[in-house]
Amino acid sequence: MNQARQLAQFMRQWHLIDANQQDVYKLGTKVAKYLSGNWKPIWHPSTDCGDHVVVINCQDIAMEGFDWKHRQFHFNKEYPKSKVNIPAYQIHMYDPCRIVYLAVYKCLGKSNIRRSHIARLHLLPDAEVPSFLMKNVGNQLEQVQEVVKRSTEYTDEERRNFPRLVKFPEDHVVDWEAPIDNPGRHKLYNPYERKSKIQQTPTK
Amino acid sequence: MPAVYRVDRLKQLYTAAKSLNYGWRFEGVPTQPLNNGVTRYIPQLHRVTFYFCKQNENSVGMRNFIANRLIQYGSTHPSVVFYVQPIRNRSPQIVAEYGNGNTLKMYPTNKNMQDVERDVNLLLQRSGEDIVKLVSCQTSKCPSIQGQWTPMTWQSTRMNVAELPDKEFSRHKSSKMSATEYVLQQARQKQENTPE
Repeated sequence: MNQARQLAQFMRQWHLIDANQQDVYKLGTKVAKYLSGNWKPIWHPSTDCGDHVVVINCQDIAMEGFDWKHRQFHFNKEYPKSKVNIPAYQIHMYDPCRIVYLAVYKCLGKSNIRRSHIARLHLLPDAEVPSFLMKNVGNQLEQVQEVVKRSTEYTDEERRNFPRLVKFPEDHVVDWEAPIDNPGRHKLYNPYERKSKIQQTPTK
Repeated sequence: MPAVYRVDRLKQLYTAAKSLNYGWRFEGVPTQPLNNGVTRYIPQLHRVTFYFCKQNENSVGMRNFIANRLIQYGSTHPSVVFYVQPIRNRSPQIVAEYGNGNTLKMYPTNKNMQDVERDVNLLLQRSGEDIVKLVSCQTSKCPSIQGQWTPMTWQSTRMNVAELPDKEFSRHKSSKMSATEYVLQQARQKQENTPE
């Protein structure tokens, strides 16, 4: 029995966490703790006791304040004109899992061992988990934030029964009740395109 | 950013187990050289040499010991050879040689006679084996009832039967009340307090 327990101490556990409406850096801190095995009482810098973590619903991740627009991720490939700052929302549009990857990678610290820790992170854009991953999962982690109910999820009856704090005038215009589609005025910022234009101007 | 995928290595697990603190393991056990004393006892101290200076102040305790006590020690320990070596301008030294080949040295510089006598007694009582600590790193009056920790020790047993992912397990538990809950609670209280 003791032998079995000691072998179980060093097993790689598979955790699952739902990233729906979770702050990406709060979630990253928690996921990094499990990836490095820091939560275990047997943890030691030389003990390789990190776990696997499966993060589902990465596309529904949340960021604080105006971070989707103003959080810039810096990439540098050490080639001429390859330094770019890309805002978070553009990275998220390109790959819904990449923001979580970057946040967890940052939260893992600066030591070289994070390379092997991040390899045990499995990111999924939606709630569908492939069966070959799901059969390993033995534990579900608690979320880091409460999931709020979206305005579109309230029924009409619930809206009517909700206590009125303010009485609006008759001609009050409600801005929006549901998120609106992009009207199309905004053009995406493309760092590479802009740089090439700057280079072209002196030749003209 | 590509991450290098690696196969889990057994060596890492082995080194991990090595670094664990085995609290129940002593650092040594009391031993005698060659099971001395099991059938008959052979005194292990064979030779003691006293180095000292006849004039120097720091050998005064050693000189007093040699003058007053050494004859007595020689008669009570017939198996031990005592040598006395006066060397000019030398700090005092006691060299004890044991049956297992160990040599122990003590330096009673500026000590009085009583302290020198205590050092000699210590050398006479030792077996010549190295000193090991006989304390365990951790002690416990009652051993663990629940057994060793495993990753599943504090895990909810409801997860064994539930089908993951389940929203119940991922729900964030907090003692803080949200603004929506607060408004609803106030409205409910007001409704209960108002007489119909």
